[in-house]
Amino acid sequence: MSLLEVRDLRKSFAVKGESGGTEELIAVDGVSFSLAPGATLALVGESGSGKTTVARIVAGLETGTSGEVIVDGVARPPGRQSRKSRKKFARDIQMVFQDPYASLDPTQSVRSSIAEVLREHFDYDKGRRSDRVAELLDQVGLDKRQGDARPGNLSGGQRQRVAIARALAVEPQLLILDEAVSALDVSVQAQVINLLVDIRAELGVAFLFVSHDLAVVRQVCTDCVVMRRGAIVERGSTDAILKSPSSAYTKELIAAIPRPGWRARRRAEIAAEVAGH
Amino acid sequence: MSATPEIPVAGHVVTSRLRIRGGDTLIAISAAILAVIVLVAILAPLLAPYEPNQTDILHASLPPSSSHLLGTDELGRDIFSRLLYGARLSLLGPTIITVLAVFLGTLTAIYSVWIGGRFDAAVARGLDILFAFPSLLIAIIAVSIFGAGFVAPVLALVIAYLPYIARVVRSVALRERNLAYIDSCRMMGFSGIRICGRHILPNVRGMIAAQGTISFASALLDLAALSFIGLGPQPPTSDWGSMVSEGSNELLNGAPAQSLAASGAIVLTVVLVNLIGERLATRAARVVR
Amino acid sequence: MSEGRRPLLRIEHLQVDLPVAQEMRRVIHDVSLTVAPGEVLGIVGESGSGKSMTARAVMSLLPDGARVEGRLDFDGRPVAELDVKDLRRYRADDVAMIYQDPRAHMNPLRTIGSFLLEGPLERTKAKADAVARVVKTLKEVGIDDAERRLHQYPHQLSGGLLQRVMIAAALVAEPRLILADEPTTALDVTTQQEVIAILAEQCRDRELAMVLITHDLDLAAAVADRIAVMYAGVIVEDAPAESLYGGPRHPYTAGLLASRPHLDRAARLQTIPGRPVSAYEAGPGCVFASRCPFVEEEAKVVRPRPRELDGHIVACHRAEDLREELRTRSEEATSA
Repeated sequence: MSLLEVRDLRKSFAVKGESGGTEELIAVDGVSFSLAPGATLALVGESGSGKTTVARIVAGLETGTSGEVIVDGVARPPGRQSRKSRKKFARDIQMVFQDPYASLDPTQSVRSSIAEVLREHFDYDKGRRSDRVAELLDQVGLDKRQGDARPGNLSGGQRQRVAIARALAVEPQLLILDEAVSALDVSVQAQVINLLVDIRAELGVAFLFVSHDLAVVRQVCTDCVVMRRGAIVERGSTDAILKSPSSAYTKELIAAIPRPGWRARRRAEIAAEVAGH
Repeated sequence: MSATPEIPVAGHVVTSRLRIRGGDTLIAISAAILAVIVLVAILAPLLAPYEPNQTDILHASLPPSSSHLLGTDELGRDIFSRLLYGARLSLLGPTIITVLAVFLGTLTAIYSVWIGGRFDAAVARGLDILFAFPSLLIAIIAVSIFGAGFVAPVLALVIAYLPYIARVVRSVALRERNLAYIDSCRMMGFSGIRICGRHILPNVRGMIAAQGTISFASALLDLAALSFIGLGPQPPTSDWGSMVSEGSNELLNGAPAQSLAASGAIVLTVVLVNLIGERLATRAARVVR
Repeated sequence: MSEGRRPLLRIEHLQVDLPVAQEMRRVIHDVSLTVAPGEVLGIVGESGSGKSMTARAVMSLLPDGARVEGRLDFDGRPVAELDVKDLRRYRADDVAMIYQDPRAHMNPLRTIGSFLLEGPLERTKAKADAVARVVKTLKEVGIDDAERRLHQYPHQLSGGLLQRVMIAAALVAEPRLILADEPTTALDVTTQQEVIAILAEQCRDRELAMVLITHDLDLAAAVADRIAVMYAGVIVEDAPAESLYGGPRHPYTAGLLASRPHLDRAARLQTIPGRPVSAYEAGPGCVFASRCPFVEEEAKVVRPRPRELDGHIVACHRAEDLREELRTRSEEATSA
């Protein structure tokens, strides 16, 4: 049985049109995919592709206009979640966000923010809780001493590690990473990517990895789904998609990545070349 | 990226005055003087040389002297003692107003932001409507219905100041609510009360403290104005505002001590409180993540 | 460095301190570089490297209270000695800057046309000429319905379009040097390709010099003639793009190249331990000493002076010894 199944998810908004009336903006246009326990799936796309919206709906932070999100065989109820429902789903799915400077409470120390999560979900005594916090900090490569630090004293990479530790504290089956390494410096990004790969190997947690960066996706996810304007244009193993993409959009995406021997080409030039064939 | 030390956020108005850090001597001095004023108000019975309401027609309208520091008023009451006792009502009123307006305003704002959607939109409009009424007008209406004194104006001003505080708190709370760490708390399954109380509230504390302080100063002025026109505490009780009014005859006759002392006390207190409030506001705006 | 032509921009031993929380913090220790006319220089660095501050120093737009030492000459004239009028002309005509976030640098209440025409109308009274020039430039950057766009407001345009408008604004002034500070970081990769292609093409056609500041080493290598790698306020390596990319001579450059994720395979990434620091956080000695896998005692105490090695300018005590080691490491990393 899949861990996560998304069926024909749709999300649309009513926005004010240029001429004054209301228009429908379709952010997610009939998306379906599934994720097995312990698997890794990337949602790849550029801005406006709807990948973040899909992730947020799966996470329960937003509600879809129609469609279903089924976690471990149980469909998530529509509408605003009750506290009980949120608490139950918290044990299934957790999320790490893009901006390390907004994803932690500035008034809370690292230790306290992890302990808060433990207190909410587990019946540990003080000692066990403290041990568990140390265990989690160690797992994400943070020093014990950093446990007492407030986010303001931590770097971007360190903050993301804390966010990961906090998400893992609840022992979720699925971790959603919404551009979780995109805001990090290159050398720090490499550290966090390695960390994610290690965590998966150690805990067997599944990843839903939202990213615009195909090279990063390559390192973390075995499967991926390419989205454009709210719809899926290609799906398959990351390997296959990157080596021999079938959709024109995916080809365009891959061709636009700077690499050795690459030359930036204008759309006109590319179009002329394509037309020539 | 280098870590920027977090700028300390002051707690609520009354207790943190003495704990304000930052090497700002002006604020430290202001806070110290303010503390003295509060102390004097509390200890008025011990410090006042005379009973404030004790009349003595034989010694009426005396100029300042060694036995009467500020002289006596038309009824022979010692002005200095009345000033000390007057401080009590003059400071108590704004304190009650500030505490209640901050409490109710913050509660309204954060709850509204948490519920969100149409409820929040309705609350915002409601606050805008209340906000449109000048505070003094509300107070005068309340007095005309319930009578002059201490209670009616104070309660009326709580209602008048509530939307002011709520609007400001709502805008910062809204900003915080949309940040990723609140999403993270929602995903953790925390209750709304925990998220609002432990996560949103501490992050808007600075702004609350700043607005509360500034409201205190405004409330002091508003109450003084009401007392001046005779709608405040009725004689023989008096606060600084009524003293200014009572001394206005004497002022015209060349004995300004009463009016001057009372207005001086009002101005001093308001300036000191505003200085602190402005500083808190600057700090709140500058909080670095 | 091109021989025979006088460099358009010459920076020598630039040092910048900024006031932060009542003290002065060093953000640039010692930066020296040159840009020849028509040359594209890439400045690559992570957070705290000082790359953006360098661009601001060139524009003479550092924050109030900044303390600057060293030499900064544009076309032979020291920028620091320009009087107010000349400085305005310098910023308007000689140098143009393109920022990461175009929305932050455009007044949302004014039309695109108003924004673009501001500069040209200062120089000529003939409005029709100015408009014609602006429209022509907009078409050159790929905005075909230029006339219509002139009447639109910034919020009506996407990020990519707005960045192209910014480039047009920079080009309309006909500068001799363009400073592009992370111009495509906030854009999608397909839009990035278009924008970079436009910039590269325009620079070639107009013989403009460009300084491209970016954190993306691959992007810089594809566009720049030369790359200067910055770390903690110091240029650690300065070399022709291909040579640097294929054979870095500094441990930091090598580390940076090795830590990029590969597109073609999943492999454990080589990492540089720790995090990037700013100039004021680095101790005495080599700024990279705390993270360098090859550090020796000397590096902890003595700051290495940049010197020439195989056509690269490197600031490393052990540059000669490490040549082979770094070569093998980078070959593993960049084999595509």
